[in-house]
Amino acid sequence: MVAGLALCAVLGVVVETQVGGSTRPPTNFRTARPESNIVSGQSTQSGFDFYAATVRVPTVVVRALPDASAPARVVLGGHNENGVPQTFLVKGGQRGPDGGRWYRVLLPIRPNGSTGWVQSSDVEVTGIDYQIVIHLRAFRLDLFEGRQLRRSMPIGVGTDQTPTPGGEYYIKELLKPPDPNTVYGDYVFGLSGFSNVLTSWPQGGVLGIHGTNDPAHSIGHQVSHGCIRLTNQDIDQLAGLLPLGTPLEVEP
Amino acid sequence: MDSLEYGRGAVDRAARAGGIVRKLAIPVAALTGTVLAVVGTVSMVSAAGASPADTFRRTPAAGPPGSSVTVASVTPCPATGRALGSPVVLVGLIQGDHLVSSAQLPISASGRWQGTLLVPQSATPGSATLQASCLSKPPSGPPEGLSSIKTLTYDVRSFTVTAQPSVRRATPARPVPAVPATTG
Repeated sequence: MVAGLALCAVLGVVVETQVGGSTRPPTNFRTARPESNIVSGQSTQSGFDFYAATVRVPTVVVRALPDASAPARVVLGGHNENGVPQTFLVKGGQRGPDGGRWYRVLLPIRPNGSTGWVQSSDVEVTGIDYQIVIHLRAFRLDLFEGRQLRRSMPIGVGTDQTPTPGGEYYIKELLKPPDPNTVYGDYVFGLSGFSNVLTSWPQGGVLGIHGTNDPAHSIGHQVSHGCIRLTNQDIDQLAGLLPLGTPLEVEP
Repeated sequence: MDSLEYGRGAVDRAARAGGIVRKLAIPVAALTGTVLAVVGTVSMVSAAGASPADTFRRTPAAGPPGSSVTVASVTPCPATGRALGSPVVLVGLIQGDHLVSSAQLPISASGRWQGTLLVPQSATPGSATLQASCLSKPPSGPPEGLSSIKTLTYDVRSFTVTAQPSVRRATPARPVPAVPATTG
C-alpha cells in the first residue's frame, strides 16, 4: 500500500579501461550515462549512453532551473539560423515542482559549456550511440560506438593564434556547402561551441568539423581558425552516420 | 500532516470498532517520498454519497508513469462542508486496492477546486481510477475517532496508466544545403 515517488539519481563512477584493445572515452563523458534512466525511465542497462533533445515547438524557453517560474536563460527558435531543427545534448533530468519532467541540456550558446533546463513537453528525446573524442596534440579524431572505438581519423586543427578550444560540445547541424571545392570540403558539422578568439565571425564563430579541398596542407597540421578538418573521405563517412546531438569532447 | 488510507483493511477495522460512522482511512505518500502512518479517519456521512451529477474532470485520461494528470471540479464542493470547517479535496489514483498517488487540494470560496496529480513510477501499466472527495475538518475539534467529515464523494473517473514511451534511436543528420559560417 505504499505509494510514493521513486526519484532516484544513480551516481556512477566510470574508470578508463581497455575494451577490446580500444580506449574508452574520457570519464567526464560518462556523466551522461547515470542520468539516462531519468530520460528513459528504464534501467541504464537498457538505455542509451547519450540522449539528444530536439525542439518540437516554435520557440523554446530555456530556464535556469527546472521550474516554469524560474528565470528564462535564453529563448531559442525551433530551428537554428541555418534552418536545422534546434537540438540539444541532454545532460540530466529532474522533476519540477508540478511533477513535470525537465531536462538539463547543453546549449549552443556562448559561453561554451552553458546549460539550461527545458520542459520535456517542448522536446523529443532520442538515443545516441556515437561519440567523438578529438585529441588535438595527436591530430586524431576518435569515433566511438557505445564504448567501442570504431575509427580513428587524422585531422587538422586550429593554429596557436586561433586555437581549437577544449571542452564538451555536440553536433548541432550538418551542412552541405554548395561548392565542395573550398576549405569546407564536402560537408560541415556545426558544433555547439565557439572559438574563444573569433568572436565577430559570422554566426558568432561557431566551431565545426568539416572536410577540405587541401588535405595535404591541412591534415596533421595546425592550420584552421578553430575548426577541425578531415579528409573528404572521412567527413563523407561521418555525414552518413552521426545524428544531431552526437557528443564531442575536445582534449588537448 | 494528514495520512489517510483507502482500502478494505481500514473499512474492516472501522467495522470492528462498531461505530455508527463508517471509517475510511487513506495512506498518503508525502511528496518527499516519506509515507506517514495512518493518523486520520474520515466519516462516511450518509448524505455524502455520490450522485450522477457529482463529477470532476481529469486531463488526460491516460498517461505513463512520470506524467501528471490535471483534475478539476465540475460539481463544486457543498457549502455545508465549508460551514463545518477547513474544506479540502482529497484526490487519489488507485490501482486495485492500492492508492498509488494522492493529492490534497484547496477549495475556493465558490467550492471549486483544481490541481495536479502525479502518476508515480510505481504505477503499473493498466487500468486505474481517480477518486475524489470533499472533506471538511470540524472547527471546534473533531469528535472522538473523527478528523474529517466527508461532504461529497465524486463519481469515480477512469484513468489508464500507459507504458513508458520507449526512446527511439536517433537517425543520421540530414544535410542542409547552406554556405557554412563555421570558423573554417
